Amino acid sequence: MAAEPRDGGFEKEKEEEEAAAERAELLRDRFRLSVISIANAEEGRDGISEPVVACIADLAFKYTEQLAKDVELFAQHAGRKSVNMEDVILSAHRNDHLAGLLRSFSQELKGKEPQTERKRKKSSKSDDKALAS
Amino acid sequence: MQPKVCRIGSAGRPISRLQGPVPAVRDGQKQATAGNPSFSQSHHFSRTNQSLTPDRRSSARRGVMTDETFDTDLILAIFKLVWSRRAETSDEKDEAINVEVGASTSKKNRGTTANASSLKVSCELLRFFVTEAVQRAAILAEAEGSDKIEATHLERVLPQLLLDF
Repeated sequence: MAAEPRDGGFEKEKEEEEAAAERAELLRDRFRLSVISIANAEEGRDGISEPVVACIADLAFKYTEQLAKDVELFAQHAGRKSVNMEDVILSAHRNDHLAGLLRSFSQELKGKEPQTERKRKKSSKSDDKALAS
Repeated sequence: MQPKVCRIGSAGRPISRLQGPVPAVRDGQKQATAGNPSFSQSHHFSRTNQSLTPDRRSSARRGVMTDETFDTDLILAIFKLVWSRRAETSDEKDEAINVEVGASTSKKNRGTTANASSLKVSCELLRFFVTEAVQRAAILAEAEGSDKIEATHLERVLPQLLLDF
């Protein structure tokens, strides 16, 4: 098992931590930019005040971190190393409507591939359900 | 779940689902949630499952995905960051245990990866999150008559939003 050297390696650990924090900050900034573009595309009127959109970005970032943890747990629970589409859909299990939307989105994605033609029928069914609810 | 009916108001926007169990005899006008004393936060949380506001984007109705969404690389990078962080902390914990047990299969040693389609669905999920937050706050802001979404609007939609996600 690769062990972090505890005796003299404190500085190295600190450097690694700082590097990780920097990477996190960089990702957070990129994430914030994406959120800004999405939010502004969504709401045209007078726009959204800046602290609000920054708040939404931070919330979404936290949600992403939780999503990563959940999805990893689900994959590990299923004995897999790689995260599946089902894992992501499962993580939305708390809200049925949301899970349905994600499921139809995933069917659309799968349906774009030529091999899974029969899934198209399912996607139209679940689309109707989502629209009717 | 109670059946949700999507009624289009005069402004061409669907009427807020925040009304929920309140018997709404408002025909096609903007919901004035601010002036409604029975709109209390308490019965709001009794429904843990609020449906997402329907997609107002015309491209969604056409079924075309040309809108902004998250970059899958960005989401993957964030996932990897979280996974490596968890792998580090769990490695530190497992060390003490493994010395005694010997050859134990600690799955966290091997890094987790993500499927390409799972990343796309994650991007969609996150886009829903942002979109929901903006739309619910926008409904509230519009009901109060202000054009700009302020922090107070976000504050009030936040509890239900977090329960739904």
